[in-house]
Amino acid sequence: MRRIVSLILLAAALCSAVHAQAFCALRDPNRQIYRLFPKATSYRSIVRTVGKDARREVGARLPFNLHFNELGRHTLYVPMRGDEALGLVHVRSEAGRWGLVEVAWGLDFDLRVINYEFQRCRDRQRDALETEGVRRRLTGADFDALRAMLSEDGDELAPGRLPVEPAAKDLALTVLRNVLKTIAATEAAWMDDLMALRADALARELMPGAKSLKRVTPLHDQKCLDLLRSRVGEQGTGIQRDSTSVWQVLDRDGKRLGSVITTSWQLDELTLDLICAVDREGKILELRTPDSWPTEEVERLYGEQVGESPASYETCAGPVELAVFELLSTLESHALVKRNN
Amino acid sequence: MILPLALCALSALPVGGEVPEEPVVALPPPRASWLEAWEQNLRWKFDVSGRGVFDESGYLKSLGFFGLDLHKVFTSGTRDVATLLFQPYLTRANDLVPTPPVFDGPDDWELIWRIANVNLKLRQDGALNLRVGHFELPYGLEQTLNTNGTLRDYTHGGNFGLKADWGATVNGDVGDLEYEFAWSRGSGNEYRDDGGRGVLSGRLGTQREGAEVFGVSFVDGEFQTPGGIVPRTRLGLDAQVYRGAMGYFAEFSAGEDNDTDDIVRALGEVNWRNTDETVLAWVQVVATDKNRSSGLTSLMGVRWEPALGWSLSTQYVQVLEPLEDDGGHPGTLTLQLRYRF
Repeated sequence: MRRIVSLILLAAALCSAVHAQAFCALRDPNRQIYRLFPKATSYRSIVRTVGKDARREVGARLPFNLHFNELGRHTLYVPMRGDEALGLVHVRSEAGRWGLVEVAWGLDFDLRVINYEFQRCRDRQRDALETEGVRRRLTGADFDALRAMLSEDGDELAPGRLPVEPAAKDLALTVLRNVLKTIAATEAAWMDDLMALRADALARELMPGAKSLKRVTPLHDQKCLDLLRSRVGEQGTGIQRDSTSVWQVLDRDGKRLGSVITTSWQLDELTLDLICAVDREGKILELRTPDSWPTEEVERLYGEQVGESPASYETCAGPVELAVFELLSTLESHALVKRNN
Repeated sequence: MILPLALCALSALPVGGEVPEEPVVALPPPRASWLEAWEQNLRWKFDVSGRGVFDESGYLKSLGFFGLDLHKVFTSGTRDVATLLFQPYLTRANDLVPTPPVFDGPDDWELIWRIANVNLKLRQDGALNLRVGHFELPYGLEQTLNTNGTLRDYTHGGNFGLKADWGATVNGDVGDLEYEFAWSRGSGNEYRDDGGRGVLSGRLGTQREGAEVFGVSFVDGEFQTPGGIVPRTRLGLDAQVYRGAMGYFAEFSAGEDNDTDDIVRALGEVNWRNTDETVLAWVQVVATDKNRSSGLTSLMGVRWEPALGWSLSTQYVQVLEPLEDDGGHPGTLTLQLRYRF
């Protein structure tokens, strides 16, 4: 009996996320997915745990946080057209004046709003949040733009940012809090999936015939580390190796077209997420950030790397070029690029 | 159980039949183990609750539920293919008089299947799915409101003597309507065949997330009861109207039992919930007419979710006018404590 009790307690400890509602109440937002992405022919679910870590991250970015009822296992939907991922759909609920408001958010892979659909909203002001003017303001907005629509403490609308009647301000506040929590929670709980989807989208955009991705793992094996040590030294170049992933891009026949790298780069107090496409010869096809560039100078420096292929430590002119050199060296260690050094 | 295992194997297969080369791993992992494939998109909780019934003289009876609530989405490559819902509950009855047929006596242990089915996606747009297993009869308010394991209940018990049954349904969303049509055995909790042609049932309704929800349903079939096969027919109308924090529900059923007893049943409910829906209060009146003999029952209850996974409920039932003259009917009070972890 004690063993059974112990097993139950162990299971409870492993299963930290809790919901009062039984799972028979769960329903996919079928209609919303196809309205948000009319070209979708199917969708796939990715269920992840929005737990205490995610709550901490959301709380660090916003003056309000996830309620305990919002923790637990949640689904991110990926609308597909054939084998191409079109974007993301994330449904979250928010306590409104008249009960929970559930909004299905259509997002691109950089977590900008593509469109939105109320899944459930029993507030009479709902129509005011579906006007062309409001939709235009929200569409294309990223986290920072949406955050700027709220006051510093998040308790009021920022003046003039969202065109709603005074009677609809409560619902507008609910919707904005909802989308900010949606984006923050998606980044916190689905980051690995997001990286892969970003890589997939970039590969399809830049490498005609791209059909599938293969992740390189383990990436920083001994051979790779030895090569990096010999090329860029012990200190590295600011590339955050723990957050670096590499995918091979393959065509229909399994032939390699190039590679995509997702990583973070840190220099002093600056941290920047990067995504980079590289062809088979080691030439940079694209180098961008899913966030905003911190300065025009950083944007220019990274922009100058497109079409380049830094060949050695000695020829690198600055920290940006060194970072790119480390990324290419990582690919070389896995024989993913062939360069004439 | 064969179907879920087969689906699990399906999701463990390489995407597009590709055989990856080491050390490269594709995304989604083509070589996922059975356990990894099973854990993908899985939710589960233990669900434990105790329920006591009291009248003016004190304790009458009690029930204990020890269950598993498991939900898994099976995904193959670029799309979801099926959803498994599996809810077996070991149930303990104490002093349960009158004793429902599912128990062998007033003090008994029984394995109760709340829901246990697989819903296969036949169309990706959600317009056509095939559900196989144990499911709630698609009828009336119960179809869109989750009352499993809660004190609040609707008319399945009074109308059919069972809530869920073994069989198959077709279901889906078409435009702004949702539907489910079923054939089931009429045996309730147990998968047995005492004869009878089974039960046809179905409901067509507007989308359940709206501020106004309407549905029409039917049941026509032969139910397996301890007293033998009982033919039952019902035609039902149901409505939910939400205004502010209030909900106004109604259900009307008319039909026959045993081809001889005319049954008409009407249910009205007014409910209230707070903004984050952790408190729900309801008042119900259920009127029944059987061969011109009428009965009237009132119920009022409250459910409160004070903390992670906890739910406290109480409901008071008063028979205002007994359907059959079988002595006094004092009011009964039911208390329930539920914990999901």
